[in-house]
Amino acid sequence: MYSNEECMKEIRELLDNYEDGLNIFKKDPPGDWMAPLARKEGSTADNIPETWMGLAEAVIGIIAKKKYDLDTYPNVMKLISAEYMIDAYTNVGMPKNYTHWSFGLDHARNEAQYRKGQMGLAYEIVINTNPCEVYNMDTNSRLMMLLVTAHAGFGHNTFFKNNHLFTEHTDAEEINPLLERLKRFVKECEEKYGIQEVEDVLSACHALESHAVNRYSRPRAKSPKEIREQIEERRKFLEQNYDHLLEVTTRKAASASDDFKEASEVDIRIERDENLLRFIADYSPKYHNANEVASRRGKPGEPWQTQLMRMIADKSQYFYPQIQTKVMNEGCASFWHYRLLGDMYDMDLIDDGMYMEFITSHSGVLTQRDFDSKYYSGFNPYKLGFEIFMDIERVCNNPTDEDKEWFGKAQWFQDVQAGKADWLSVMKDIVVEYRDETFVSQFLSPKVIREMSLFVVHDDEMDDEMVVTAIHNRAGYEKVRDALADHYNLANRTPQIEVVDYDYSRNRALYLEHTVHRGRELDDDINNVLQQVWYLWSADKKGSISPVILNSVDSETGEQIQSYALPKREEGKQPGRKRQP
Amino acid sequence: MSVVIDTRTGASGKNRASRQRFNERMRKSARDALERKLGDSKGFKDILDGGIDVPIPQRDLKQPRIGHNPQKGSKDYVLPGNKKYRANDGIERQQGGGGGRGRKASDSGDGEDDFEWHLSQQEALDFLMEELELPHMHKKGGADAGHTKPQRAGFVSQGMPNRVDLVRSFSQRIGRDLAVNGALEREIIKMYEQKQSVLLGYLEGTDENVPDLPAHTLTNNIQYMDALRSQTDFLNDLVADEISDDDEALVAAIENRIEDLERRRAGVPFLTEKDLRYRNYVQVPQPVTKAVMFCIMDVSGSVTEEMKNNSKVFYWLLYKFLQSKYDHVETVFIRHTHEAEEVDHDNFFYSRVTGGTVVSPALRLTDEIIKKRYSNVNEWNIYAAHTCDGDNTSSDNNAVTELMHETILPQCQGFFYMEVGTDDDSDRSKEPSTNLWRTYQRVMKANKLENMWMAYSAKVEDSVRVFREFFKKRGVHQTQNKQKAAAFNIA
Repeated sequence: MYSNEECMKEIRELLDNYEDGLNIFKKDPPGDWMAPLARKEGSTADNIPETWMGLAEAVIGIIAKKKYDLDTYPNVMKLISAEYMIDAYTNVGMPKNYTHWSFGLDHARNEAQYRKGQMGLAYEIVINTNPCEVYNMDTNSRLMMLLVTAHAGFGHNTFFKNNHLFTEHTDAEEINPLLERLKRFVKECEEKYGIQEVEDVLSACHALESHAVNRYSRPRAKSPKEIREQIEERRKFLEQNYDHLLEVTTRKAASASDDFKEASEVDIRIERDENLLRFIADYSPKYHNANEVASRRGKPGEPWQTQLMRMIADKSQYFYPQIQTKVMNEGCASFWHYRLLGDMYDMDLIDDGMYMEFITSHSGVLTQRDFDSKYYSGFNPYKLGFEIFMDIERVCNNPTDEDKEWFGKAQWFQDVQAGKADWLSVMKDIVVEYRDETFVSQFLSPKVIREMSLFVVHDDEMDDEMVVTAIHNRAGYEKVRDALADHYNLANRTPQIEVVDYDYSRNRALYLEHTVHRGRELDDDINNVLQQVWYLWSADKKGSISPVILNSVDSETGEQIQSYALPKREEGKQPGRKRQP
Repeated sequence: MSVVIDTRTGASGKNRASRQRFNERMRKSARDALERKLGDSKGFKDILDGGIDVPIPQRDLKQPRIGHNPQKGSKDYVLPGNKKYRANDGIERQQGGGGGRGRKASDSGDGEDDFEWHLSQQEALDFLMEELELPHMHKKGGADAGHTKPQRAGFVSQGMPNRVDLVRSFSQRIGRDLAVNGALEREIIKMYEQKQSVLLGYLEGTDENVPDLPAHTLTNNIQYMDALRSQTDFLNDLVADEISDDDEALVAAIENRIEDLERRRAGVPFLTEKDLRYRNYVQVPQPVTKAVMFCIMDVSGSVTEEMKNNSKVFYWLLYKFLQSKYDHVETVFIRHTHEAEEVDHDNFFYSRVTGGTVVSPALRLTDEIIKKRYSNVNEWNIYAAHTCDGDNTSSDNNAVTELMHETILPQCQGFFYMEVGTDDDSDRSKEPSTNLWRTYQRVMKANKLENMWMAYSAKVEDSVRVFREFFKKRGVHQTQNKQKAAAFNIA
């Protein structure tokens, strides 16, 4: 690892090729961000950046790589306009997207907010691809360009490349082709089957997006091929063990044929499956005949609807790590932009005015409103993440007695104390190994709890009022930490709904189960969601006999709390709203 | 080496398709919302100022999602910024704001509010004018060079690839084939026949069976050639032993010649550029529907600024409507006091004059202009709109009646009268009882042509409604409806 001086030497070598030399970032780029920089006379080096933005990336890259040894994808810096930013926002930061009215809504919303000045556009958007795409707005100031490059091009970038959720769940090389395929496929389907048809399927998929992911990379449910092999095996077994004599003497011939029938219609026992959309794509009676359950997956002849479902599920899977690591990701990016810009200031690459601008902007982004402020809108992930990362550095370098007591049992802390690790290696391990939930539960220290004045409120519908159960004092630290970690546990945020059974041999009903934790029931919108599930599962113009049933079951008592069903049950039974005794 | 890409140009519009889908979906909601907004004059002013925000009800944008019911069960919130609470303090449950419900407030967020959709002036006007048209517009006028329609006009040898006519091109090919290949084939046949006659000479007197030849017709060159080839080959084999050196040389020469001809024949392309024929189109001028709108506005002293404003809103909408919906509509602006003059757009809308109110000069001027410029009544659909405070000089009423019956109505497809008043006119539930209103009403009752409409406007928003009522699409049966339908009264 280099010191500042060694970095500076390398940077000086690079900047010596330009007319403005070391002062280059203190001056405006010539005319436009894309205009070539003036070379110093006699400079012959080739393969050096031609533009201001390119040079900024290169210089920050020297510090990031040489001083901190950050592992990143290569960057592609894109200079964009405000309209482009609104577009990119609308597509949740995706470079391309298919056509659906809901994106038009987002776009209209973003545009309206931007026009009214309610929303300062983010200065950057970064896309988890390889190479990593970093969007810079052309209206950014010089300092903002540097900040964005450090924040996105190195902070987010290193997180994308190293965090286990991203490396295990998503393929950075795959996302652009996937989106391109999806976009093209949607367009093709619209041409072939009509815009309305496609829109209906997409809308239904969107309703299930939160349940179109596999949370843990566990083995998939049995593939149709395996199921068929299983059936085939059983049939062979029966055939081979067919004893004519025994048959004649003990059973009627008819029952033997029953036996074969049973073998071919063997009830497919499925494992609980949390990926509702994918399951529907695989087994929906609307799109698969009984005897070809999902056998067409990924093969020619597969209905376009199920192909589409699978593609949307893939897209959801891609986003899943982002949802789980919001705090860490932003914290990591903020931490690194803070370090890198600080280093640039120390090396006198930016002047006092720019540093002031940096601090202003930095603290603007990292503001946490108090819960009773009218601007409060939940935790600011930038702030929380940044504070924890900064705190880790502090704990590694200057632990207090409190820290020693709090973190004393943690392996990483012991390693640091023993001189086997330093803050940088701890930091990098965290980036690789953790997600928001575990990150908070392992690294939130009493100091951060105190500084942010965190407290826990317990809200039970049975009680008349809510109760403060813990505040930032010695008795409360652990409770606060655990409650906050719990808050970032996605399983607590998203209702746990799984496919539990599929009546394969009779009416092909789909059984879903909602596991109710701590009495948290579903909101009424579930009826609309089920309508969409039913649409994908079986409903067609003629109506269908394959029902969709959702039972809410208490996680502790196993008692059924609610039941929803489509099509609505006869005999005055109101589906869903009935509480079981 | 860092890569920098400039995507500022040509990049926007990525979401245009989604935006259009959304617009389509929102169309009805937006129109209803716009309608509500136009109930007050501010709404219209917003449109004039360049755009309007219309609220779209949340239910129209609903996308179902799986979520917890925030009211149910027990949960723990972590909140930042504690100032006064100690452990075990109770917090009263409140809806939104204050207390400890911050978490909940953020969960529901602003998503519950109606969404304000910004319509640009053009979009808003499009919505307003979607269902509007000029009534009775059925006369077709003379041809207009600016309005043409492509018409087929035979074939040409050059053109765009998408206009290639295959049938025509292939018949062209067959012709060329007959001409070029046919000559070669005939030559080859002649050669074979020479060879045949040489070889047959040796067989005279013998009883060898020679394969028959099909008859040579105009169309079977190729089959005949093939038959000749196999026959001569057969003969060649037969007489190979006895043929003389001279004849052998002759046959060889003939065969050389045939080979040469065959090679040339093979060199003739199947289809050449010259065979291609393209469908030809010419632009033929079409008869168009031409219309003229007379905008007649009373600007006399009795008309207050507010009333003038109402008139101007009406004419502004009318002008925009004609501009956006009809290519071939001319507008004539006439303003009148006790005398009438034709003015241009700017003067009509912006300049000010005063004087008494006499209507007949304006009608007379209208008639004169029709006679002068739009005299070909069969070609022109003529419309006139008149706004006035109704305060016509009593002595003029007879002249107005006569002009309307004799000249204006018979020449017009539609005559629209909007009377402007003020908000504080007493008893607005009744029809106005001004001189001009009563006169026009008598005219309308006596008029058999059903081409006259009148209404009353006291406010800007009335003018918008009157405008839309005047020009709403009327089905055939509606236009046949009695004048009752036409004589409605706003407010």
